[in-house]
Amino acid sequence: MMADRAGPLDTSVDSAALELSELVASQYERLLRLAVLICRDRADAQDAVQAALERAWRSRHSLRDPARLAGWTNRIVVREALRIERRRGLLRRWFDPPREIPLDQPGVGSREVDLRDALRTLPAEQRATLVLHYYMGYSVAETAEVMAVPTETARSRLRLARARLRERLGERP
Amino acid sequence: VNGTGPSLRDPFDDELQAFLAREAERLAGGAFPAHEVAARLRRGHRGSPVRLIASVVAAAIGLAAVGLLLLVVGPLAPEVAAPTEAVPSPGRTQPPLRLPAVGAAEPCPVSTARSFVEELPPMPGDGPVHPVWTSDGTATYYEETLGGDWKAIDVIWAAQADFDGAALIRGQRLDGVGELRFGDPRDPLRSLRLDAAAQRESLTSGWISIGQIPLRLKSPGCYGIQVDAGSLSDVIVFEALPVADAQALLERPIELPSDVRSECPITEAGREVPFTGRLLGRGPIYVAASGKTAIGTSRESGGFWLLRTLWVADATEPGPVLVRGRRLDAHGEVRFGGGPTPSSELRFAIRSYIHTPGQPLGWRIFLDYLRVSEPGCYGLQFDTLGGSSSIVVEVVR
Repeated sequence: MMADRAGPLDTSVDSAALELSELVASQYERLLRLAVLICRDRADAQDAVQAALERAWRSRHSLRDPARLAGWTNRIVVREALRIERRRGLLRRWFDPPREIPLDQPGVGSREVDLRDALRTLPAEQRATLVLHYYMGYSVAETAEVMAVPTETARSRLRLARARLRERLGERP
Repeated sequence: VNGTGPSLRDPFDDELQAFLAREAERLAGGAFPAHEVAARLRRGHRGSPVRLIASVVAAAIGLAAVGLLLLVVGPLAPEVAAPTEAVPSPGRTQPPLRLPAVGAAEPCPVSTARSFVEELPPMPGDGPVHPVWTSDGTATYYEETLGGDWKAIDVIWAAQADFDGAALIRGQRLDGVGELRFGDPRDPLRSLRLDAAAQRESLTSGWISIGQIPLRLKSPGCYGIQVDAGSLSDVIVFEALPVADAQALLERPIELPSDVRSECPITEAGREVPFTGRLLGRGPIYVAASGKTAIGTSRESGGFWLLRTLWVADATEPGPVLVRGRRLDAHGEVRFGGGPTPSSELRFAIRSYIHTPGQPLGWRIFLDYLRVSEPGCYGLQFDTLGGSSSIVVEVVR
């Protein structure tokens, strides 16, 4: 049973370790994919997910409804991924290295690569909004809730993100 | 919050959805497995008071045991890196360190690097294990890292392919007080043990990597590392400087031709490589293009035309590169980068010790954007540790 219910602290080392393993096993893959789309870097995403799972584990007793575990951990990992992205952003003000590419990726000039580049150029908040809406399948209102912004802000970020991607692809936004 | 699906649909929405699903799989591939993350969390997890007390008691018992061991068998043997886990091996003896002492005012007696194979940069040391790192022959450059005081010199530990033994690597600062460690900045190892029989990866013909584990240090200075492998013991001395020092060296005056009135003196493509074709420039950084480049059909909202550019770097000449430019036949600017805030300069950190799968060995390929204000004749100046060079390109509609 997952340790996402309110209750007394577990003092059994073995059962706590087991519950932690269950939490990681049930959430990790989904959270990693969410974080990696926001961070665009596997190592940063792993850091974000690990920090998010640690945070979730520590405050697991604050989650009253086990059915909301996925949404709750999604929200925490988005926050962690954005925090890491902001730190990276500070570094990029001084040095934003060009992106290295493998030559065996499908056609350097292909639309897939263009889209990848375009996604990378979005501000982190717009990218996170786009990922929650299109990858996680959240509605605009749900996306706004995860991002802790008003619905209109989430809608505006989505609109701007789409327009910027299309502009980068040489299309009319 | 549970997903209920995107609210606005058009074909681009479907394309985005499918693209993000592919990207998530591509980017997440090769990440730590869930059980390893759980183990890491368990190790770092501060548990209930009962667990905390148990941990304190266990730590006290452990410390007492280590103290007793030191009294009985002498210093602990080196940690074994595999590559991030250190496993103490009590009882194993290790060769004494025989690093030279260097006075604070003395020049650092830097070990000479030699070229052993064409695809790898010159490497210091007599072997059998050599570090491959970013050096200009006199200084070896370290980088700041996010979080923590430990700076990083990324290293491929290279050896000839017939080496199948183990190497013990230790080091320290020679001209003052300072530690040299290895690996994870949160808890870097005091010594590094690499076993070619357990971990080896082909680098190029006749050469292997037996590990990619960075050196960790906290301050610039003269450092020494000792590599013990079997009966061989090698000492390598290097001067560590922040990479910012190297980048500052590159900020030379721009010396591009000016007031070009007649035909644009475009640079003819020179060197040809099989993976991208002809290259512009003298190296170690090149542009994969001909001298005449056509711009796209749409101008960015910032007023610049966007030119997708492949930059090709010779990884056997590692070090930072600065690229700047301007229009030569009229007033006009050059900007770089694909991000929301294009820069007036482009900086590369050419590292020989990273190899991206799919890239040709000895080369690094970068994708970036050149932005010009109008079609015209443009010059780009490349500043590297070895000197400055330039190319001229004509941008046409």
